Amino acid sequence: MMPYCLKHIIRNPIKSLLVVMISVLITGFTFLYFVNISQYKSNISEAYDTIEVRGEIIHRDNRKDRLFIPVDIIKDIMNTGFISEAYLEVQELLYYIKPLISIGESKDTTSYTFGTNNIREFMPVSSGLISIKYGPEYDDSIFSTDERICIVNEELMERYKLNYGDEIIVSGSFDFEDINNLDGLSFIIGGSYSLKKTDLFYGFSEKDIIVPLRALEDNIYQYLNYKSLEYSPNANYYFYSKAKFVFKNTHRLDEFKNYLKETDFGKPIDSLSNKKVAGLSFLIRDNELNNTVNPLKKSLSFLEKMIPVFIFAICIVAFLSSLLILNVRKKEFAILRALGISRVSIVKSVVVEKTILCFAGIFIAILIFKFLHYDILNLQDNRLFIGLGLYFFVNLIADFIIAIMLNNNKVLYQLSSKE
Amino acid sequence: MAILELKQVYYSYKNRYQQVDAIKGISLNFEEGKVYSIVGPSGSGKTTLLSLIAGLDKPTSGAIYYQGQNIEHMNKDYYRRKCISFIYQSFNLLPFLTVLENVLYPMKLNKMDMKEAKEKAIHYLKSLGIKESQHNRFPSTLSGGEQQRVAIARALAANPKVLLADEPTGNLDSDNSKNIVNILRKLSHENNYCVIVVTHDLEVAEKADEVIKLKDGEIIYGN
Repeated sequence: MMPYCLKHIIRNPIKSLLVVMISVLITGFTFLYFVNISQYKSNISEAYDTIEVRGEIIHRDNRKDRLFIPVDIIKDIMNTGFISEAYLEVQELLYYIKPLISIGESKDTTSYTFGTNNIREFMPVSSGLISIKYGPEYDDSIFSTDERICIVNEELMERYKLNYGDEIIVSGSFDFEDINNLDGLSFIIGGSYSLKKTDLFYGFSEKDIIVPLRALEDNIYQYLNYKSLEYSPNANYYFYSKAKFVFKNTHRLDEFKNYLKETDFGKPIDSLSNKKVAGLSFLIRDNELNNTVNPLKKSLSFLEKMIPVFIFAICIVAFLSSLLILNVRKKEFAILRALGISRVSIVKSVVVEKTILCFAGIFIAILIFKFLHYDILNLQDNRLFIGLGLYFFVNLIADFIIAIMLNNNKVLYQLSSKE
Repeated sequence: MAILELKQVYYSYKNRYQQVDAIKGISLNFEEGKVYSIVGPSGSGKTTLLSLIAGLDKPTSGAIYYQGQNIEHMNKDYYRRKCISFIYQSFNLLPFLTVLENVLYPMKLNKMDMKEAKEKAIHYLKSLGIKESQHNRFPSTLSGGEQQRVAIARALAANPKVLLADEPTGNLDSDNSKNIVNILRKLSHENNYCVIVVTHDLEVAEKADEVIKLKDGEIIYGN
């Protein structure tokens, strides 16, 4: 039957072209549909990759005074697998330590020793309250180390005639019963700050010193032997005063939100099962991400939901086009039947012919899309191939059924019809 | 001996509203070398009778024998390919095959040697007055008379013993009609074909060796 099929295809160019065009159009629409889905997916994925989501632990009542965030909370959050970076800060020696700084023979008191792991995120710096000037060989990177380097007020340096590289000793008395008169810890002066304006609310004053967070954690706390102390909600040791986070895996942020719910963040104190988070809320700044991703997700979800409808529609088109195209061939089938060709051979020839034309259409569509720089074959969405396969299958089934139906018509009555 | 024998053939079918008895107990014998014409008004069962003879429909009861063999026991496709051929009023040539390919097609189906088949096809076409220059043309470019002669050549190509013609002159002018009737008579008388012609045309019917008249599915005259 092959030469017959080929002759039929070649010598009925309009009919053949029509079948190929339908195939090209259907394949093209299917490609476009799934390219669209793929584009939405990649846009969503790109949004998740590029839009930074930050979070911050704040007071439950959004109070702006000093926070006391237990280290366990920070550690638990860091262990969720959602945090790519953390900006942590402690305001050390809060109520119980009255630190002294020893400069040679002189002694002076400081208000607070601030530990931070990112000076640019440190509020007095980021808000322009102070400006920092580093000594030679020092820069912002000291805050990611555990080196005992400090930044002091330039007026203090002037008053005591200090230079960069000089050493100061930070010591103090401790109001716990068992820890008094702590030995001093030495810090090298790596920079100075000048107070641009005063911010009474934040409470930053000219006697405060800023040191790397890890220098405090590794030295002062070790010195205080904090690890041996049991956690108590009333104790004011080893608390962070600021914790900001940059998220990773933002596409699964809901899981993190569930984690926050489970850990009672933001709940009123009397309903807390986890007393550690008393007074704490976790603010996730994901508005930009949501504003970008949600409309995309909505469109994607619509397209995904419409896939069965789309596939059903192309199957209907396949069936109707087969019906229309084969219906005009019913006389030809009657002639073939009268010439002694079996029904099976006729159906086979129709199916082979449709296969050739359908594949030609699909191939042309692939070439067109390739030309338009769409890498269809790498879409990696099986539903595309299922859709096309279904279209092809329905085409063949439709041809099969219609050819059998037409072959069952009264042959001689069709051939006797007057032209 | 009759090449075709119809014994008490009945054929009925159901349409949407009722059962139609199209053929009612027809018994006929057809012999080689003779032209038979079947006449009758519309709806008398002429075309149904041809369809039954061709094995395209199955008698409700009774039997049709080809060379003594019940055609119900034969492979119908083989029967139509080898034993009988059709000629129609509207020619029914395959429009996308050339004249020569149309005639070759039944021979291809019978798996004849292509060289021999081509020689034979050209011989049939020439003997029916189709010029060689027309052999590679498509049927639509020929006149009605020429198309009918090509259809006859195609009918002969399978080398059948029975030619069934359904209103073969219905679409032709009188000259071409006469020509076709003469060809059919010649084929029957000189080449021993059994030619069965269904026609409304009394002039055509009169040229037959035997006339069979049908009315309401029954023979009212002949055989």
